[in-house]
Amino acid sequence: MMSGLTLRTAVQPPVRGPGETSNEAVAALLTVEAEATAEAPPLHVALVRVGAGPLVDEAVRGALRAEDRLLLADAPADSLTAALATARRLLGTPAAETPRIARVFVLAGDPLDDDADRLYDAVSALTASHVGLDVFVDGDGPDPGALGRLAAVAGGDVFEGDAPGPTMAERIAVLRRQRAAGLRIDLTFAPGIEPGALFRVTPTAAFLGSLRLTASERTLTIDPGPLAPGRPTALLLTLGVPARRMGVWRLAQVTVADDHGVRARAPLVQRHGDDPGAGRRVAADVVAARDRVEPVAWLEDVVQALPDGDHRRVAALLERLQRRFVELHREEATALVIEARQRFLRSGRIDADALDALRRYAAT
Amino acid sequence: MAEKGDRAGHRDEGEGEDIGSEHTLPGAAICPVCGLVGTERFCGGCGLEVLPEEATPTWPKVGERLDEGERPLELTLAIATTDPAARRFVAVDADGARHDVFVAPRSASDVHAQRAETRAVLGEAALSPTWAFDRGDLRFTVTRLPADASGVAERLASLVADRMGPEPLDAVRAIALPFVRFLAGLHDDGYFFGALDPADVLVDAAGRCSLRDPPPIHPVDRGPLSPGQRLVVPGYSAPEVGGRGGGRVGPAADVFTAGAVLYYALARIAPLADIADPHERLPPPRVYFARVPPELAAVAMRAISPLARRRYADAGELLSALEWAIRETERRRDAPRRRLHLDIGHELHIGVLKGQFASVNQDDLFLAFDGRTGIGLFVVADGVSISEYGTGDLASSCVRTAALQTWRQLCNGDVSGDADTGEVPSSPRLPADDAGRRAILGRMLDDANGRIAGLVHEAMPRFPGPPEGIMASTALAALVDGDRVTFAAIGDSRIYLVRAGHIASLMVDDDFQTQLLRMGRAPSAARSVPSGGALVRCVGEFDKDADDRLVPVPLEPEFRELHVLPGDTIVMTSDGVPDYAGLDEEDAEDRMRKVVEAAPGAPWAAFELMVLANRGGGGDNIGCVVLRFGPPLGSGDDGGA
Repeated sequence: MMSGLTLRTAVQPPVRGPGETSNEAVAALLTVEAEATAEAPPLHVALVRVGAGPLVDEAVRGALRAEDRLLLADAPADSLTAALATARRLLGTPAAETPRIARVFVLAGDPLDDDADRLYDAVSALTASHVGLDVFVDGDGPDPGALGRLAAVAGGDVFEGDAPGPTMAERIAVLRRQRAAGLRIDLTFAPGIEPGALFRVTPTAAFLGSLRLTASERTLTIDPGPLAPGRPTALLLTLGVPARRMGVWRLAQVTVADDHGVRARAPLVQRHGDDPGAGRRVAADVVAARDRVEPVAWLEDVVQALPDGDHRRVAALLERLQRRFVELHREEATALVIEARQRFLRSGRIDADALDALRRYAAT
Repeated sequence: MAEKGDRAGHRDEGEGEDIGSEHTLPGAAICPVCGLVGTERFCGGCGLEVLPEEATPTWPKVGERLDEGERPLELTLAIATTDPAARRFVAVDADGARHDVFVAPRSASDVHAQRAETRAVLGEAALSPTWAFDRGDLRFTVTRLPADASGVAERLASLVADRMGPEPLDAVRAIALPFVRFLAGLHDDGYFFGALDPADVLVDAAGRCSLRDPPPIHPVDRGPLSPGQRLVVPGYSAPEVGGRGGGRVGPAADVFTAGAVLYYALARIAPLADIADPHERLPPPRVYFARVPPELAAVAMRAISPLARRRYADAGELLSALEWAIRETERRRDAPRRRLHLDIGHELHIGVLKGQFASVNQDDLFLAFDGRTGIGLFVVADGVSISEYGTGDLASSCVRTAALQTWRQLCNGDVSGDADTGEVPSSPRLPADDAGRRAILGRMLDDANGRIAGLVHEAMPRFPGPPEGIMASTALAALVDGDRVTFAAIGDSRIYLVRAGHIASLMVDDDFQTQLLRMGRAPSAARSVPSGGALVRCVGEFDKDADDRLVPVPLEPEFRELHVLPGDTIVMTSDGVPDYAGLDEEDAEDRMRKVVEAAPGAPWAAFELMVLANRGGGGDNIGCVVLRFGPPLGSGDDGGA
């Protein structure tokens, strides 16, 4: 089995008393990190512009090397779905023995018009082709929050700003250090285990979705995004675990693989036993990860509660956010949420800029 | 590969055959839960580990006898140990002497090396093993526990059992101070524990500490520990040990543990798991035990801050603060009586946001001070907004009027000081004993209560509804006599002592939450109760007689006496200041302290407190009085703060 990767797993709580059933969901943390010794495959970037605006390619060209490829196009319509279809055509499907890191950069400056289901299918098709997605928003049009959720599903991110060139070049540098192409994480859950929500913790916090299994299909596949030395990807998932007898139990098998085979594997393990310290052992790394991603989920709840007019819920969520940012010593985020909260208490509204700024702070 | 055994889950009675061996592959195992046969570590059917990678040790059990070694032992109790690959027990020998028994696989070199490293660093502060022996793959290390030493946790437990026992200062000297000194020594040497269990720290008669089981220690200069698997000590471990607040553990985690020991020594309660709540600190120890000296309370509250950055940086800093607090407590107890210089400030403001919704300020103040005698009466009242009849400002004005009447009585009747008549107000006089001064303040509050009833009765001689929630106000009162102050408080307005970089709340909120805490509810449970902040005592408590007339109920305010020192500042404030001055209550109090200490005089301090509350939102009325005590004029005494 090739390596070049390290995979670490942790489960919270790591030990439970036999027969114990807790109302608190079990949480598991998976961390994948590339080692520095592996070689970097070539980079293929499809840069697609949606709507009006300059086609930023000079900064990107300067960051690429001879073995890399840059493919440019304008999307045929003002929709992200059209842009992604264009990008997939440009990138094509390489031969199995030709490793590459494939990436789509979408440059969007105007409001986008997409059918939600078709857009989700387009992003899923990208993921299935081991192509990552980053969106560069230039202007006031697209909703960065919604785009961020989509990009996160494809292992990517949303970048805002009037001059996306330098940001793209930086992104190229990150992808350049990526040591694994077409990577996927397969999670095969044991019978009786019900996965809940999936979050990315690092490099940026994002809610990736609620996980659903069937009785026959117990494996989920996740795109970890670009992996580079010193830049691990950490994923947090919640699990429902039934009461169990004494023993060591595998909750899920984690396998990291690419088109060439399995790169790393490890079980998610929880012990039910007679350890006197059972109720006192803590996987502090899992708890810390959960603290980090919860603000992302709370902000999405705020976004949903606002149009419903549920002001009490919004106020409670903002207070919760403030407490968490204070706890994590995030001074700028704290100041931002205090200001948003005070404005909301006075006016009943939060403006879109403040909400987006909070989302960015929650993610980073 | 896995296959289900033909008779999975069945075993006919009387049959002794091994079903598996007839049907399974070599090296395979039958899962005892679902009966699947497999050759892999985990069962493919249910996930149970059926073929462990390493053999599970056969651990000893409680009740088992250990006959190897110097003397036979019986294992009496299993206790948690940091390393999940080890076990720990308490054992007794035939003479009843206690021993610590640590059990780990002989092959667990990391475990044994860590313990040896800790012993090397701690030297005599770590008990040396008495003997060791091997049984199979396990190594047993036995340490005899000294008879003349008891654990810190044990000593705290005895305080809980005997709440009226030693004075707080004596309890702190006997239990908390040696523990803090022990940690300060370790931090000075460049190490910290992170998750120390006070049950493992023994204190002998001379106040020397030793460790019965050496937990891992970590060099300070390598920076804080990244989160990983840890053993939390409920009631003593800092939130970051459990992964909260980022999960990075440094010397401040030891400060937290020491702060917890100090807190429990003052409050005389069993350890609270809620101490690890990362958002809410524990209530002031005075909630549980009235005779808590303010400086010691302030040090304890800072040490157990949920946020590491707000605590003392290390145990050395905590030790300095604790020794200061002990000295100040003794000084306050032993200082001779004398008149101190008093600087007075006050502010009354509607609140920038509150004023947009309610045009009347429901806070009120009363101040009176006789410079010749050094006697003064200071009152802050906060009217309750929700009233069935009347308004909060009416209620708080009744408190002010009662205070005025009380002052006149102290000055021998209703003296107006009218220049036309040439009359000069008499000097106020106070009873010499605390009981008499308390009675003055108690009567004042009852008078206010009666005035409220009188207002209602004027309009409605027969009051139709229930006697609750009619019209009410909180009240704070300070009766100053030189360097003696008698306080009375009812409601949730606050009185603070600010001194030498510390701030301590002198009284306790009269709300439902406090009642629940005193009844033994956990802080998290008390906080989660709806309307937990509702007042249970205030000025405005009535019954009704047979004619539906409102009858004032004798009030039960909280009283406290304080022997003030030069350098003390007393802040009496409605909740409009602490509720808006900071990100949370702890932050608000710290900002209030800084503002008060930086102000050149009491009037400036009061003004800055008002500005602080308004900058924080100003969502409530603001009423505050600041009393700054200085050295007697011409004494040259700087207060020693």
